[in-house]
Amino acid sequence: MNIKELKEIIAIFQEADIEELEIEREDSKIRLKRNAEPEVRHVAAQSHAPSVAVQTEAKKLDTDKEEAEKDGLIEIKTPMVGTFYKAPAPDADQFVDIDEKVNEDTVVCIIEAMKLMNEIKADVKGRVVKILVDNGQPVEFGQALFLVKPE
Amino acid sequence: MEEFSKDTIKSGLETQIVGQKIYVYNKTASTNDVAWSLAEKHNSEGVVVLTEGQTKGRGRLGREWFSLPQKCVLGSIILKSNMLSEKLNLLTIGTSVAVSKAIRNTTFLPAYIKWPNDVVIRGKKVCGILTEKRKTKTGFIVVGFGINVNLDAEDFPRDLCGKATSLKIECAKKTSRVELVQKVLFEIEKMYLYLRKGEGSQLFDEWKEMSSIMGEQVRVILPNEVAEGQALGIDPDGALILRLDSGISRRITEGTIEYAYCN
Repeated sequence: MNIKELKEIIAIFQEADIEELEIEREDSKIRLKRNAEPEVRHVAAQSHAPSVAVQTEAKKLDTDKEEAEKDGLIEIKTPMVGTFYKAPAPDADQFVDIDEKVNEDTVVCIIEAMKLMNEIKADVKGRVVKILVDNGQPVEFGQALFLVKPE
Repeated sequence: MEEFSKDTIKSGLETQIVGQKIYVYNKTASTNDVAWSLAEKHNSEGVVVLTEGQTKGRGRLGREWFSLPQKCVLGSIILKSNMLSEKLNLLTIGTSVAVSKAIRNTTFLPAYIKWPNDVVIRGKKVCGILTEKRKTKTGFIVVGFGINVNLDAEDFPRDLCGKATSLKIECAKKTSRVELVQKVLFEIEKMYLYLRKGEGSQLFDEWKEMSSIMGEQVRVILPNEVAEGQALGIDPDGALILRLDSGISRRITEGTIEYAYCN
């Protein structure tokens, strides 16, 4: 399920006169529940959004996480909501690539939030095993961006 | 021709923090990059870097920023970010308010803000702002701005035609770059002090008053889609609140407004 579909489902839910909605598919599960106090998980920074609690359980993310834990990999997460950029400019080299070594101070990407460019550092020493998001993709608070094998 | 130097700018500058140290270069790679190296060296906020020419002037995503010597104001200011808590986005929004006010006070032109932080006159961009936060121990933030001051219509490259303008084109006369910089620095300091004291609400009123899109029907280009609706305002984090045509309110934190009807 992509973000667009999710938003459409939320929109339909908001207009319909129902209290709770649960949809399960092969790759994902979503449960929407009407609430007076918005409670938000996975979809960060929605505190000013309409009063619908959104709970998504993307199994793919869980799989990545389980895989990571099993192999002793460490996730580099985004500390904010924004857009992920793997290079400082469209024609520039990307900050890091798979198999590249990083240390605590290595800049791995930029997260842009409302034209504020935030450099993200690895905060871990090791080797990049996987890049979990595509260039230009929106990311949510706490979403894993890279998997690193610590050294 | 007016002398654009550290001394002429400092003479008559009414600030306490911003611009206490000013560097004016003939040519640099990018003022934001110079500011970052100075931030590490001096460890002090308020340092201002100005240049006549940039060899690597850049906007968002490293896009090239067009400028010509003696006709623009290109600069960066070092501010301290840990004083501003998590509301760093407000600094970007606040800078657009500050620049718009400075332009209005200097030229009386109808400068407006196109969310989140472009400054436009009659729908065309006159100033771009690029804020950068790097993970340094010192906790600085660098705000860069480029203002098209005395450029003529024929100075602009063809691909900017219809999208960009200058103060000279809009008011049909030259503007003093020294006076403009002084007012920009003054307004940025005022905004910075508001934010430092946690009085960001002042900014919102000013932003709303200066927004080119409040209440207007707009189209926002998002990474994977397009959202259309009426701009209702911004929330305390600076996100744009859009009432979609379906009646639902949506909070927008990224994207580019494709068109906005301007005053």
